[in-house]
Amino acid sequence: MSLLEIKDMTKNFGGLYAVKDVNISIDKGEVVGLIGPNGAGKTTLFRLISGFYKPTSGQVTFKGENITGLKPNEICKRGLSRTFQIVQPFHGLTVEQNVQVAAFNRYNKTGQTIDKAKEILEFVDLIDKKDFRADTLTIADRKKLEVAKAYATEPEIILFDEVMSGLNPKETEETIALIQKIADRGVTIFLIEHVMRVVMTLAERITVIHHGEKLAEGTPKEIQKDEKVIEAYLGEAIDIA
Amino acid sequence: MKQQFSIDYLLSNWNKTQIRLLGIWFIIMLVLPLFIDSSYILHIFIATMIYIFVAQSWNILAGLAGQLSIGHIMYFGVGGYITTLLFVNFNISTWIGLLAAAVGGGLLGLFVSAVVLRYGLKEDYYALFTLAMSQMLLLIFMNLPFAGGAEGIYVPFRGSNFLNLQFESKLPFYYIILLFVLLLSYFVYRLMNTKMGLYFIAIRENEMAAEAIGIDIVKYKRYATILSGALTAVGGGLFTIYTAYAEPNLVFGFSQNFEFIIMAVVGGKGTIFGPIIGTMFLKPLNEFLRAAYGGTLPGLAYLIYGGVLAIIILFLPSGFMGLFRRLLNKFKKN
Repeated sequence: MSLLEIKDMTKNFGGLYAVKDVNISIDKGEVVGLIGPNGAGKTTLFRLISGFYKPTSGQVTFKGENITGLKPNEICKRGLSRTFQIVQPFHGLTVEQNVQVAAFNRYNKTGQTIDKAKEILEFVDLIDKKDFRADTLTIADRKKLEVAKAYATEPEIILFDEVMSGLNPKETEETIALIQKIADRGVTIFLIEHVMRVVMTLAERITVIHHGEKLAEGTPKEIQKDEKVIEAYLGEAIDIA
Repeated sequence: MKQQFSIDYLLSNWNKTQIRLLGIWFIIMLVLPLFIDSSYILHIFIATMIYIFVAQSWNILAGLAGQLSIGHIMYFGVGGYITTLLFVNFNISTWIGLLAAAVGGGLLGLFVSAVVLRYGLKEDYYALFTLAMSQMLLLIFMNLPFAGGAEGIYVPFRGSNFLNLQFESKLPFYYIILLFVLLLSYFVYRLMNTKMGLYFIAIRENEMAAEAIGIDIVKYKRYATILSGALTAVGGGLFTIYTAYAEPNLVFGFSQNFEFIIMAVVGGKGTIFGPIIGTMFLKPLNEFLRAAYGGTLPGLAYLIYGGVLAIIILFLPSGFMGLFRRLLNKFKKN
């Protein structure tokens, strides 16, 4: 049985299909990539899965339970966490408190959440800045914090929405390593990524969507050779360095 | 030990710094009556502390949880009437009256959050709804047969009695309200380190991100409203018992409503010490200006007060506490 099953997912905004009849199935422990040209419906799909949008039709099943239409916090409680493409730190809180708030998803005692926050900040290499206010961080550190927050809720699967955007090559490498480390700890990963190289490195399997519909599915190698995919990206050079 | 007084420490342990300020303030207030022989000045400080209590209660909902409850006086008025009516009509101890006020304020908070949720009111609409509620309650209490109408109810003096919070002299009440403010402010400090308090702040900072990490924002907004409503109602009870008078136009009035809010904002919304410093500055200023010019040049007091307010709002966007923080940062750099 798959961990996350997206069935016939459709979202219609006033007659326009942002996502149409998409089927994706992810097994426990997998790292799956979601790619597609700009405006393909990737982020909309993430919002539908994580409860920020209600689907027009279709169903999301997580650990065998139908979670369609649940609120984002209820979905997070069940073990599905997400990050935002535009990072969303709690500006007025310190870095440590940002992670601590997320840790309350599983723990009730302040002491436990502080320990958990420290452990995670150590893990994402942000411990030196634990007392900084979140709004004083650089973009790269904010991205790390975004990952730390999602991971601190102790999820079974994390949906990463373009964590690499805005990062320089060195920072990108670090973030790839970080996501790999999280995957190595047994967390299932579903990620949207614009930088092809990142998806090709991390993902074992890739789903391509275009105009809201699933275009192709397969291993990175298969996707690179897929005629339909190349056509969809025509004009946007596929940079597979 | 020395390190604990370094500017770095003060800045990065901002809440602890504020608790130290609270301690200093408490000690000053504790000995202050020794140097005051005027009962009028003592009265001003008592009134100031009642205002601090209410400003601090508002701060929990608006400052911590970010819900702009600008008609917050509704809780104050309801609490004031409950305490007064119980005491005047049934001779019920003020302490029990305050408890009943807390329950009443909490229930009103529950009602407000239920309506707000039902109709999905947010931000400006939420603010306007709370304002409308306060004016509706003003009219309701004005027309309730047992609430004394527009004239209100006078609270009779039934002799010095701790159980009724009535005293011949002002001093006992001064120390009781001082203790109330101290406990409430310490409670806010503790709250900010608990799950509930941090959830409030997370909701204020970013609702979407809060939901994404598992926070039930509807539930926690409701908690904040009930908590803040209950505490504000206690403030209302203290006010009417102290002034011995519950009048609808005063306890539900716009002018007092905005005074509380302005004082918390000027001090620093969302901080522990802000409502204290803001009210300590503005309330006595307001009183002294009125005493000085109220008779000779009516209006001048308001003009000066308004001018001072305008200057603070223009130049101190995050209030006195924000200014204090900036000054510390400046010293650190030098």
